[in-house]
This record gives sequence, structure tokens and C-alpha cells, in this order.
Amino acid sequence: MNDIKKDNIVLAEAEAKVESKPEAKVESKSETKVEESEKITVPELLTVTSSPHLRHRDSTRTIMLEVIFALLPALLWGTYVFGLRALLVCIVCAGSCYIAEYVTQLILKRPITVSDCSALLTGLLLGMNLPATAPAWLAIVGSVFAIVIVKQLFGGLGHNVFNPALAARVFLTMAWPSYMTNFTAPFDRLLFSSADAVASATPLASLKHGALPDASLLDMFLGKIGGTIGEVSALFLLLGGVYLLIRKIITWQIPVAYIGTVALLTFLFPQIDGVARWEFMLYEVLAGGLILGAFFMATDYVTSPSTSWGRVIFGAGAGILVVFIRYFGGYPEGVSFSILVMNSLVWYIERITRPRVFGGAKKKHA
Amino acid sequence: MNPTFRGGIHIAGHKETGKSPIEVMPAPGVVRISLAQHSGPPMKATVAPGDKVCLGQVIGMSDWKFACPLHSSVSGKVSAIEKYYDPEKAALVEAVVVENDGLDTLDESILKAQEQKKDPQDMTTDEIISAIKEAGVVGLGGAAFPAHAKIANSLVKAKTLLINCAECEPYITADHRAMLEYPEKLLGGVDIIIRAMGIERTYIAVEDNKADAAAMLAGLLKDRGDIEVRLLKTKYPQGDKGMIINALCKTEPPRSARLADLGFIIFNASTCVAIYRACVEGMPLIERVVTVTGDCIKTPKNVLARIGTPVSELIEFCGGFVKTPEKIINGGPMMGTALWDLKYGLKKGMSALLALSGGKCDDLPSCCINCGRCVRHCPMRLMPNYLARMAGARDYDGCYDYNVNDCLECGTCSYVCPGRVDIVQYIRQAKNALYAAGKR
Repeated sequence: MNDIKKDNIVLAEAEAKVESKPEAKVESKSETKVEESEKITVPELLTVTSSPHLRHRDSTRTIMLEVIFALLPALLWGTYVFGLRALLVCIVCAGSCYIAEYVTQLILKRPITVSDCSALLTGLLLGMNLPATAPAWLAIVGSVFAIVIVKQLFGGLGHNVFNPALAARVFLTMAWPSYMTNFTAPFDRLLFSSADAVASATPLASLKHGALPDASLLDMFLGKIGGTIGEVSALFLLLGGVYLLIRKIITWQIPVAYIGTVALLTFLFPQIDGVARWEFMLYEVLAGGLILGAFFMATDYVTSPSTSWGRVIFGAGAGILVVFIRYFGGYPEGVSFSILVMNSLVWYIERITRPRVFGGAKKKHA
Repeated sequence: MNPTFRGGIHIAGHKETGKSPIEVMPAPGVVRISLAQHSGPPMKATVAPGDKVCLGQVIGMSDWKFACPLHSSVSGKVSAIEKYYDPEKAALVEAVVVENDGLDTLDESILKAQEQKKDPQDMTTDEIISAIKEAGVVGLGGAAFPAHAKIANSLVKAKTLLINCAECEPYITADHRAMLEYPEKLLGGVDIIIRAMGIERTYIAVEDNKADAAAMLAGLLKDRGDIEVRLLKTKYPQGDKGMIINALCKTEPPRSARLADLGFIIFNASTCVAIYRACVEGMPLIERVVTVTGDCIKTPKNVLARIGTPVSELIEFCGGFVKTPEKIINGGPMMGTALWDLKYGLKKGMSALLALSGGKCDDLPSCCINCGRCVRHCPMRLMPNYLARMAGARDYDGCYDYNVNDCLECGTCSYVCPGRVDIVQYIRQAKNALYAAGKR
């Protein structure tokens, strides 16, 4: 079974032609009708394709839907903590991403692929990266930027270099910093309007200013803190992340390398005196969007390496960058930047981490 | 935990036919015996339309250096020598059409051979090789490389014999049933190979979904120190020669290396039975066990059928269709070739005949999302995502640098691809272009 004929390729090409020929199919259909009706009819010309003839049930669409499903606990917690408005922000983002993708593909005369649900996921992730006070226009502008500029203009799904949701978040942070950092206190729930929002410092901002946050570690873990809609509850994000790991949608390398590197560096080099190293480390790991980023954003297939070791390097590199930005950068948060920088290196990382071929040397010479 | 190789995939087995005994199918009224019965160039017919042929008479031969003859599987009259398009060979191939007279008159050469036949214990290596060659025995696992040539090429070098009973492809149970129903013949064939080649160590490698067959063979081999039955963890593509050696011995034979140079020779379980029949019974290879199954077949079965039996008759013997098939596949669902029509005659290398209904997942255009599943599962540890991308851009030199020629075409990458990219097809395209350019 392992010795395949070399000429198979000619066939494969011939097969492809036949399969794509509409006439061939029409012909086979008309023949079907000629045969007697009570017997199972067999087309005169059967479908011929290249092997394999079986496919795994997972498709792009089911994977996207499973990631969305894994995000739901964190989204519901965000809604519980920040009010209905948080949910509305995410719905506006997901909806405008969906529409933006549809319209762009229509204008660019590309096949319409909104049913793969990747745009919905991008929108949901963007929404979860916004504060609950974000105005609707901000959500829409971010969504259009993510889908049109970052995704479709780079060639659509599978061709974008940067994670669309993160690129949009960084764009919005730079263009409208005040809207993007208008965080409310936990349980100060907003219904529709954001007018009565009471601004509150996030744990990350406290850490940046050299003080431990008021919230206890348990509150940080459960998500009783301020922040963006989706990032606050480590518990529910881990729940979703473990689900994705069990379902083999993501692999362990990126989250473990990413969070592990941040944990290691913050343990070795604590920034606040008089605090136990492990306590500072846990605050740094639980604060900000690290867990959301590590399980849901850095693991985005398109913008992360496909090799195992590449994923380790990708995660570790992003971890180092997060700690550098948090310690020395102008922004309190570095997760978005770290992942975007590593996104741009994926091509190189994949090349240097190419697996050694079975029974062979690393590279064959011509 | 039973040993296995790294990578690969677990696929739903669909091996329900493993429980049903082999049924002998009566010879059909007309057989259509393809002249492309072994790897390498097709044979030429040695009979002409109108000739009378006997069962076991040579009807085709090629001048290829490894070739072995082809025999008529029925007695009767040659009605035509037809050209047909063989999807497996991707070429126009001739087939000898024989009208069965139903008498099964044995050819004189067979009768003569059976009179003169010796006990295989007394046969010399050359006599064994020639008996296997004259019987037209080829590898029955699918590759159909002539068995006598494999033995002749590996003489002296190979000291370890592997009997490949992995049968890792879903649906196929022909070898499983052969192990259960012809264990003496199988082990007899193994003994003949051991004697002919001076084999020192023999492993019978069985995946653990066929533990019943493995236990049975182990019971028969209780007092044989040189033959060992080994269970392997069920995983696709364990039946590949490199993977099965890796699973058993933990070594990694390079794809380009010849197994004989590494001291190995591998035979498929059913091939051993055919070798036994050739040497002991003097019968040429005129029939084989084929698994007829798939969700469109009414009663899936293992069928012992004559070579050349049309696919339509095989399906009729299994109760016909219960729903309209989308594809009829010669071989397993992972590496088999889809057939154009139902006229195709059973070939020596055909271990299964599948009739699968559609099962199209979605209508989205195929698109690589770089998920890395193909990289993770590739048993050869290639980067199929890169190969497909480069082949799509006709960058065949790039494919070469990424070891496209090491690909087994096992289909694991296409199987796991959520973006539904036909990776294997791209790889075949690249391999063919490189082959044409002389880069192997």
C-alpha cells in the first residue's frame, strides 16, 4: 500500500478536471434518471477524486464555533460584572465584523465565506478586548479595521499576518486612548448608556505604579476586578482554554510557554519591594489580558507557527515582550503588542523550527 | 501500551466485516482481467480474441525485469482485448475479457507442475523463487510488487522478516480474515520465505484491533523461537514499511533507503498465503480475498473472488446497493483510487472495494488556516502545509527542499485538514513535476 505509482499525478490532475467539469456531472445525473426507479440507481460516471476519501469531521467552521463556545463563560462573566452593556458591545463587534466581511468580499468579488464564522470570532474577541464603556461607533470602527484592513486586504482568512482583533485593539488604543482606558469598577453595572460610569483603575495600572492592587488574589482569579469585558476572569478563561485543549483545537505549547515565561521573569525580577516573589508573580499573571491572550489570541492558527517548537518559541518570545513592555514601556499592558510583534516573526520561526524528517537528516541537498 | 510510531491518526475503523467469514464467490460469467496487475509497466496479452483459455493458463507477460506472468482465472473463450482507462495507473491499459464456460478446466501446465511438485522442505531457493514467479504472486497489500523479485533482490541482505498484518486502513479486513481462516497456510508461506532466504528472525506485526488473530497465531507458534507475534497500537498509517519498522524496532529507515540494505524484508499476510499456495499447491494467483464494504453496500462481506471479477458483480454478490454511492473506491479510503465505473475487474492488488455515499461537509472553498494539524500528524514529519502552498504556486524546487519526495501519500494531512485543502493532490502534482524534471 505504500508504493504509489508515480503516474498517479497525471491521474490526479485528470481527475480534478473531470470533477470540475459541469458537463460530466450533468451527464451523470441524466443517466441516473434513465434507470429503473425502484432499484438504487448508480450514475454511469462516478465521482473521481484524489485520495484520501475520508475527512475528519472538524472543519474551519466547527473550530471557529468551538472557540466561540469556549469564550462564552468569560463573556457571560463579563456581562455579570459590567452589566448588559458589555454583552451589547460584543454583539455590535461580532455583527459589524460579519457585515464588514460580507460587504468586502462582495466588493472584492471574492467567494463569500462568512459562514466559516471566523469573522464572528474576530468580532467577539475584539469586543472582549474593549471596556464595557466603549461607544458603539468605536466598536464598529474597530471591527471594520480588523476585517477590512487587517484581514481582507491581506488576502482574507489564512493570509493575514496579524491577528485582526488584536491589531484593531492596538489601533483603537492609539487613536482613542481615553475611550479605550475608560474602565469601570466591577459590579458597577451598566445597562445601555455609559454616561454614569465610574472610572476605576485596573490592577495592571496599580502594578505599573509600583503598588499591589486592592483586589485580593482570589478576586483576581475569579474576575472581581476592573478591565476589558473578556479579560477579567482567569477562572472562566482557563475553563474555556482547557476545553480547547481537551478538544485538541489548540495545543499546549503557546499558552504554557507564554504564561510560563511571564511567570518565570516576574518571579525572578519582582518590581515591588516587600512583597513575596510568588505573590507578585501571580498578580502579574492574573492581571491584564495575559490569560485571554495566551489561550485565545496567541493561539490563532493563521498568525502563529504550525510547528511544535515554533509554538514554544512564539509563546516564550511573546512572554518576554510582555514583561519588557510592562516593566519598561509606556503602556501598562503589553499583551497585544507582544503577540503582534511575534505574529510578524511567524514565517521565520516556522523555518528555523522545521521538524527533522523521519529517518533523514535535517535537510536534503540537491 | 503496545508500541507504535510517532504521528499518524486514529480513524474510526469501520471494520465490522472482520467478524464475517470469507465467502467464496462463484466465478462470474465474464471476467475482465487487467493487464496492469503489478507495479511497473503493464503486461502484453499472450492470447488473442477467439482463443480458448484454461484456468491458470498464462494470458499476459511483460518484458519488465521484475515481471511475473498473469493467468486466466476462469476457463473459456477470450472474447476481446479491451482498452480501458485505469485510474490506478493513470493510463490506458488493456484488459483481457474472458467468457467463462463454467467448467474450470485446469491448464495442462498446472497439472504437470502439480505432478512434479516437491515438498517445499526439499526445494532450493531458486526453485522457490521460480515457483512464486510462475504463479504470478505479487504483494497483495496494494502495491502489487512481484513477490519473487522482492525475494531475489533481498537475498543474503535481509535477515529479518516482517509479516505486515497491520491492515491500518479503515474498512479493510481481508488480511484479518485470512489470518483467522488460513493460519496454517499463512505460517506455511512464512516458513517457505524463511527457508528460501535464510531468515534469522521473524516478526508478525498485528495491530491490537486484531488481537484475536494475533493470539491465534501466537498459539500456533508456541514452540517456534524464531517467529514472534507482536501487537502494535492501532494507528494509521502503521502498515507503511517505514512506520511498521519504526513501531517494532524504534529505528527510522530513511525513505530513500532500500529495506534489504537495512536487513529487512516485508510481506503482507495475504501474500504469504499466496506464496504457500504457489509452492505447495502449485496454484497460480487467480483469486484473492477482497473486503466489499462501505455504507452503500447492503451486506458487507469478505469475498474470495476470481481475479477479473467485475466490480458490479462483486457488489451484486454482497446484496447490491442500499443507497446511491458517491464514490466506488479500489482499496482503502485513505490511499485507494476512486473508480470511474463498475466495469472495472478485480485486480491482484485490490484488498477492498468500498462504496461510500457522499458526506460533503460544507461548500466553503478550501483554505489553509495554518492550524498545523498536518504538521503534527504527518508520520514522515514533513510540513504538508508548506508543500501544498508551494506546489500551488508551482514552486516545485521549494517542495523538493522541503522533502516532498519523502511523502508516503498516506493522506493523513488531507484527512485532518479543517480547511479541506487537497494536500495530497498538491503533493502528487509536485512529485510528478519533479519526476518529469529528473529530480527524485
